[in-house]
Amino acid sequence: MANDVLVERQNDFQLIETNAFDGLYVYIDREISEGEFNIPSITDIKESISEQHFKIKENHDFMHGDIIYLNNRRRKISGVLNQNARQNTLLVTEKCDNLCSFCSQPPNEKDDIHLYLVAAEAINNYRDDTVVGITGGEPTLDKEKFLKFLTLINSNNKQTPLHILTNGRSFSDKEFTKEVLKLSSKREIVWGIPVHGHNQKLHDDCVGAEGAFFETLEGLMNLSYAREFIELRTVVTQKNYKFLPHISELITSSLPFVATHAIMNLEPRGWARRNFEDLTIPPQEQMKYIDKAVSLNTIHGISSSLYNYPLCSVPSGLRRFYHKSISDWKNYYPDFCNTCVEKKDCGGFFSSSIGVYLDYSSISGDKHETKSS
Amino acid sequence: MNEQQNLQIDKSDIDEINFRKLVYWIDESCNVEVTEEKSFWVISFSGDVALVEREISKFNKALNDFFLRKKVSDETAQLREKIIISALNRVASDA
Amino acid sequence: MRELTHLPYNFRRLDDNFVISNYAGQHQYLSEDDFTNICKSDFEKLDSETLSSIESKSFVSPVDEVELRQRILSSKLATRIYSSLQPPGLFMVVPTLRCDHDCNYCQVSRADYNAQGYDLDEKYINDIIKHIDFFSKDYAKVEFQGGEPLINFEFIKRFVSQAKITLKDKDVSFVIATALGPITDEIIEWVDKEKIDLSISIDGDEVLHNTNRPSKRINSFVNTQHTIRKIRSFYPNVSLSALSTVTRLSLEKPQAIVDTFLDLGFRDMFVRPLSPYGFAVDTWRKLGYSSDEFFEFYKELLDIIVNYDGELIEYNALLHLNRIFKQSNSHVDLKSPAGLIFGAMVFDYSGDIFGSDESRMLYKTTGSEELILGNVSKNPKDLIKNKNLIAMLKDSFIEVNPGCCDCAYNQYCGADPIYHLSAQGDLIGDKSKSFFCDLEIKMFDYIFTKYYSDELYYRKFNEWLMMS
Repeated sequence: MANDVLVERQNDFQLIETNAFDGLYVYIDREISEGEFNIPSITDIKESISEQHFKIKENHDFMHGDIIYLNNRRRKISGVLNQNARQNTLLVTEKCDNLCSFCSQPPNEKDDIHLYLVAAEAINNYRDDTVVGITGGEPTLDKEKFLKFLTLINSNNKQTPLHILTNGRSFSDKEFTKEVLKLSSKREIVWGIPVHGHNQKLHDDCVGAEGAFFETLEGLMNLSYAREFIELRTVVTQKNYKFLPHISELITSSLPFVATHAIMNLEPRGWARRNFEDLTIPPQEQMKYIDKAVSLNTIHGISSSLYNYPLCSVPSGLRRFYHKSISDWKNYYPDFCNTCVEKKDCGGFFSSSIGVYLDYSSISGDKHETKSS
Repeated sequence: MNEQQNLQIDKSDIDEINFRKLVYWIDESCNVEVTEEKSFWVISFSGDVALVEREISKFNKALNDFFLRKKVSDETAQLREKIIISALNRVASDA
Repeated sequence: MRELTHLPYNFRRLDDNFVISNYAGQHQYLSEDDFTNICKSDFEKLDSETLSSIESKSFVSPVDEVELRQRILSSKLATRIYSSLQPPGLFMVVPTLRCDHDCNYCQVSRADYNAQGYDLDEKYINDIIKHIDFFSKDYAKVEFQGGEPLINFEFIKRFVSQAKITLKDKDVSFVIATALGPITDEIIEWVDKEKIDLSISIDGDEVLHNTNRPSKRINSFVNTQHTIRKIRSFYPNVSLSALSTVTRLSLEKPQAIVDTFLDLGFRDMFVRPLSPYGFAVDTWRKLGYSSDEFFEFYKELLDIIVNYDGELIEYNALLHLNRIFKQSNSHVDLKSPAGLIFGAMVFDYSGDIFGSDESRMLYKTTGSEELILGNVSKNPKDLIKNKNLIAMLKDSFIEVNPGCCDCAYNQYCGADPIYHLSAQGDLIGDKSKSFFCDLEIKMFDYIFTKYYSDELYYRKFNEWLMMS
């Protein structure tokens, strides 16, 4: 539905960042939705915007107070922080010191200072104060940049809560940990930190980095003893699925204040897609070990969550731990799912799993309506 | 039937106050006499055979308990006191 | 195979099996063969599951990981101690020592119904609440004890009303421990309106209950039964909990006790042994029992409960399970350092402040002033500096008490200095002669054995653990 929004005043949106390579980050002041979007003269903002028409993707609605990115080269608008999105996540770097064989966001050495700055600006200007995810690469790899980022977002009064994905290795540095905690003392942060093995051998093998287990565990303990809220994450692959209960034994031994354990099915994206055959293990085969791990977690007082599993692969005893988690722009339901009565409660599959990556054996048939019902 | 038995306790093993605390608990129907020598104490137990045996056994057991407490907890005594005081102060300051 | 080395742990034999435990609070149940192989470092003789478990739980460690594992152990120990030293959450207030029952094991040395001078003066209400505000953090549970608290109902009403105002920024709950003698419809209505919980003693069926807990004024059992039924029918939102004190007379009647609880609509119960306080000290010969006798009774009772087809929880077992799996500090009587002040505070009818209910009971029979930690009319800060409190607490670290230091259960058990002071005249006591220790060991032995060898108990215990 073409929706020619004639923006009369420059006040309808406000530039928040000018140093991006090929576009603008703007804070918008009114609703804009699918179709064409006209930007009138913002001549004094950036000269490279010569053309004034941008295309908005299907099913995207942007609201007053959202942060959007106008990609000048591709004439496209994409959402950065949107009130309509189920999840808002900002990428602050693509550099990393781990090399997980299943990495969905493979690392590179691209310059990232602008990513930290833009993320800070976006958070500071965004109208909403719901939780924002921070990911990478490894967001804390460059400690100074990360501290700068935290300082920048402290300059506004909102104290936006954050969900930060990190391998935790930087937090083995007690001084750095102290600095971070000082800068975030008034902010609610959930630290999402992966542990893929119950010992150094397995974990380091999964993350492709020697010494990772030590540093991650030290980091986890430093954060945990500071009573920080930790979401421990385990990605389940052929290498570690049988050891899930032992990972639970490890975390219940070492981390008294871990808030929750997220057990995650593989997302066939990035390197996980490339190595899919060697990594994937059908959910059905995982469940026995997941059940044991979740039981151990529960009786020790740690909560558990299952992510990225199609609902039909989760037995009823584990349903209460299930999260409909695949983010909006990634989910996909094969035709087979159209007759499933539980479709609306299910996160479906990753759109990256279309084709050979979709494991039909993981779909169970008993929740489907029959023609006669 | 009566009997008398003596126990000798080295002064280097136990200080006077704790020694006297141990003697304190000996059953009063057992006749007890304490004599002090230069480097050791002598306790003389006398009375009914069964009573004397029992009291000596209790005394030895209490002596052992004392040694054990000393060995097991001495090293951390100061630290434990610090922990408690610090925790109490924390309760007061959170208020 | 990578080279593995031992880390420190304690162990205990349970017939043909062993249980080992460490400062990380973890345990492992092992066959005798497995235990022997571990001790001899014959790790290749273990199956992979057992080996992975003892490694994950830091009983053994690859040689190059030892430093990390040591940090894990010491940090977890520090956490357990730290968690035990959090601001108190339980505050007991004694509105009166007067009572309308004549329980033969009365632990509190009650006063006669018409006696003078045993009521808490209302002028202390603000001071008490000020102390509660000072010592609690975000949460406070106020428990009215006695005597029979409802005899001084006016005090309770005024107290609750004032507390709800002063402590409005905290999460406050109230419970009245009562034998229900003075209960009236007015009181029940107030309890319902103000969302007060009731904790009731029910020792067993009518004969057992009335023999243990007679009253000159009423038929205690019938009154209790009638009141509970009335509350359940007309005031279903009032939360009721019940406990049974075990005397020699109870030992023959585990089924009757369970049946009574079920009949009165309870889905959980707390069964506790006698303690050496108050009148129980004098009547021990008649009412008391050996730890073996108690435990035979308890095993039978637990078996009845576990086999019950429906929801029924026994709190003594659950408390021990929570200690084993979560090192939970919710029960003030089973923690280390001891729960004096850091578990509970007691404001007696005289205005004196004690660090536990047992302390005030012991004071009643001995008059030992050292047990009094403060007074409500004084500044709360004075209590922090009390030398007796510091002395009592600093020796209640279970890791350095003889007898406890090598016990496989020391991360799960607790220090009870007041018990040992009462029973043996010494805060630490000689655990080899301690009824408390004996009972706790039997309890832990039994819980571990049943959990790992009895399918039904395993399932039931896990259910209870997941509910709490």
